[in-house]
Amino acid sequence: MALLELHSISKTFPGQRALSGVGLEVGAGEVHALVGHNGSGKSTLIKILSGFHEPDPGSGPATLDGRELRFGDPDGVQAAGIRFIHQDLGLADGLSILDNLKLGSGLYRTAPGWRIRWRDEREDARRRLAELGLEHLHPDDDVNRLGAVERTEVAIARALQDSDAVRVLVLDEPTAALPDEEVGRLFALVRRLVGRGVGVVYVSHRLEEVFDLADRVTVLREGTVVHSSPVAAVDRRTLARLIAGGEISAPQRAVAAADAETRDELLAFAGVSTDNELHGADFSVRAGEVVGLAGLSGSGVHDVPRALLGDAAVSAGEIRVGGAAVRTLGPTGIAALGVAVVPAGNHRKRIAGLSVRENLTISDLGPFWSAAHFHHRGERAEARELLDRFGILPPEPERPIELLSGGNQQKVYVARLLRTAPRVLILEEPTQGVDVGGSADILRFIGEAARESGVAVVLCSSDLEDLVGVCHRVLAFRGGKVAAELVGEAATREAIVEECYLAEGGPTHAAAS
Amino acid sequence: MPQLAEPTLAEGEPAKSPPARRNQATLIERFAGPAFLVVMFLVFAALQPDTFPTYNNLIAVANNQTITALVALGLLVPLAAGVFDISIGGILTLSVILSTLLFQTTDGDMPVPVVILATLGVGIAAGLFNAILVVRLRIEPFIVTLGSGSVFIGISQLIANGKVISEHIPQGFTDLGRDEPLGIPAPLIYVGVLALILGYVFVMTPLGRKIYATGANREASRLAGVPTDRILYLAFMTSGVCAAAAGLLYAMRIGAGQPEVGGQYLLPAYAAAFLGSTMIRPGRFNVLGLLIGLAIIAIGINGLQLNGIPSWVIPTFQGAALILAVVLTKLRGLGR
Repeated sequence: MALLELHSISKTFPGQRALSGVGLEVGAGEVHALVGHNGSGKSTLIKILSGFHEPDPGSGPATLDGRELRFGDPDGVQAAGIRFIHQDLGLADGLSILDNLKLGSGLYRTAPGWRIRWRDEREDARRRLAELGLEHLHPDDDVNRLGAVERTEVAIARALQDSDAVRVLVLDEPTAALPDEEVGRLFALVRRLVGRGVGVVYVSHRLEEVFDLADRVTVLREGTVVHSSPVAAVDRRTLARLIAGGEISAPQRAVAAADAETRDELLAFAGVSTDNELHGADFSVRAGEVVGLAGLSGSGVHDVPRALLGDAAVSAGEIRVGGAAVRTLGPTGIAALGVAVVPAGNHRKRIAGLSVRENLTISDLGPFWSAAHFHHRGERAEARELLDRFGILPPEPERPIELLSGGNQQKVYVARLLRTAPRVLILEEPTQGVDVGGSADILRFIGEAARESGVAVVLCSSDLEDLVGVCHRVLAFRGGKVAAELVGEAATREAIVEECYLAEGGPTHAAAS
Repeated sequence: MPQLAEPTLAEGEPAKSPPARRNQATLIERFAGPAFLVVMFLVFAALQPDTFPTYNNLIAVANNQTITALVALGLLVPLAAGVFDISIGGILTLSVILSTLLFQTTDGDMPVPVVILATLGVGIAAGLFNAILVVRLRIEPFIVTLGSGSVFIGISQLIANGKVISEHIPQGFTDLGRDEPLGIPAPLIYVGVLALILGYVFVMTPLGRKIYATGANREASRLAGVPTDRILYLAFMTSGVCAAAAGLLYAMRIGAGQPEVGGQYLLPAYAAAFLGSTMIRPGRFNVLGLLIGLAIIAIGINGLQLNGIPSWVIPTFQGAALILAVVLTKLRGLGR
């Protein structure tokens, strides 16, 4: 009998089946890797285990040491000895390591008068850190002065403070924020825990880590387990294929950009580095082309919109629009050049408190303003026309924007910028959190804009279907630069995943500062 | 009344509430404030038919609110843009002291327009100072203006040397606050003009829309191409110049400068602005709502005083109005 067993877990969100009949077993002293593409259900499974989500009725049972765990009961899970390190470590910045360790563990020991016995506490913290092999951490240091790996170590130390009680440790992409050379230290810590009989669930995007660390691997795809075996029984290529979806999908592009070569180059990144993730990225996009950018988190894909919006400082290289170097990066600067960016994240697009109409027109109010008069009627007419053209439901311009569904909101944000008739359109995760029908609509608008208006479109997406569905070319990013270009038919789901995951040396990060 | 029991919408979940019901609620919401004003007016008119509903009393009540109105109208711009400005009391004080001191030190020789322009200029500069700290250094507007407001009061006390300034204030200056062309006190005309200008900007210009967008979600508006930094500069400079104008009006009407006048206008200005945001255009700081909010507070206090209720009622009534306004806004938000 395994230490932790999850049986037939299903979870349905409104309009979407996130997990169906998923099982997972973790033995004592075993590292079990859980892999899968974005949206495959990994984090839903973790959140069910932690008690954050409740699974659908009829799921289960989940057992630890043969004792059944109750679903939706975070305290019970904690008491049973399961600990979680989430991607967001949840450290309290500005407090010391000692204080952060105490955060999870109840009270400080006090002398009469409620005076904290700092000396005892400090001694205690030092001893516990040493137990985990973390002697280099000093209890009095502020956590916001620590590097990424030390922060992760503090979070692990906090999760493990009553270390005798800990049976299972769940690490959710713990290396996403870590530079490569630091990953080894984290692995050493995990191995020490495993040596003490702790079972580890290791969620990661990086296949090389799976092979370095894990004993078993389970692949999730679209909410079901498509593979589960000892790591030794698979090779990297098989694993990538399993994550991507096995069969090679036939690309269904509306138009192959046969004449793309002759079109104007509208957007070009020439050796662009940012202070963040890009390290000498080179690519260009021509009029009428839809170019997909694919890559894991940290690969640099998301620094492309960030650099254009002025949120990541360009440290080297040049961004050109229409052949001329861009001098002022930032939303208004690039808008003047006809470049529009639809950023990821609802809170960065939704102007709650304004109506759907006002959200649609905010990027360009010029057409309604003449002779010192704002033509509200003209604005309403255009809003209604946009609602109709983009199929936004319900077609009520005066509805508060926050009352629209995610998909319809996203259409509003795409329409907001498309109505400014941009020459270049960059979309960051445009279908994230959008239902299937809405996604298809949005992708159709993007394709039409390129085909009919000659817009140069850049699609930064972690959704393979999006990339395969509409892109003429897909650029795979690794380590802050374009690692491979997949043109037309060559851009299959399998090829994209392989290029993104199969880094020979892994992503080459600059040393953490 | 919005229902508290309704569950709040999760991110990305489709809305279910039927639009018809919400529109009805909005109609009641929009005019509950004005209706309350009318009812209150009628009640006081019935209680004190000889003193309350007279032309003289009502004009006096309105005239008494003109300084508050100028401050509050200016405050509307930063509030609509989503930032607090609580330095307006300090700017008002500085303006009172500066304008009277300019006359006193020049034995009343400095031309009135020069004094007015110089004082308004200082108000703009004070707003610019706030805006630089908020925009460039990304400091919380509340903290910035709490500090700067106190600094402005300190500077006022320094240059006034702790004394009341009342010498050599020319009549040409004080008349501007005391004239009654066509029987209407001049201050009411100033308030009317400012209200019309701001109402026009808010409702009839793209700038007004951009101010509201900045207040609704600064980051999303910035990414959508709204020059949010410039909007914030404009907002603080507008509230600064309006507070300076209110200070000038105070100096004109009183004919003297005391270094501790500004504080009394802060609370009623906020109370009126927040009360106003619950009516006419609920959820949005708006000019007409503000004027009605101001009227509710002023008439409420006047009516209570005429009925012999003591003066401690004033701050209580103002504070209660502010809290009530915020509570109403909150309930409305929860009902969504």
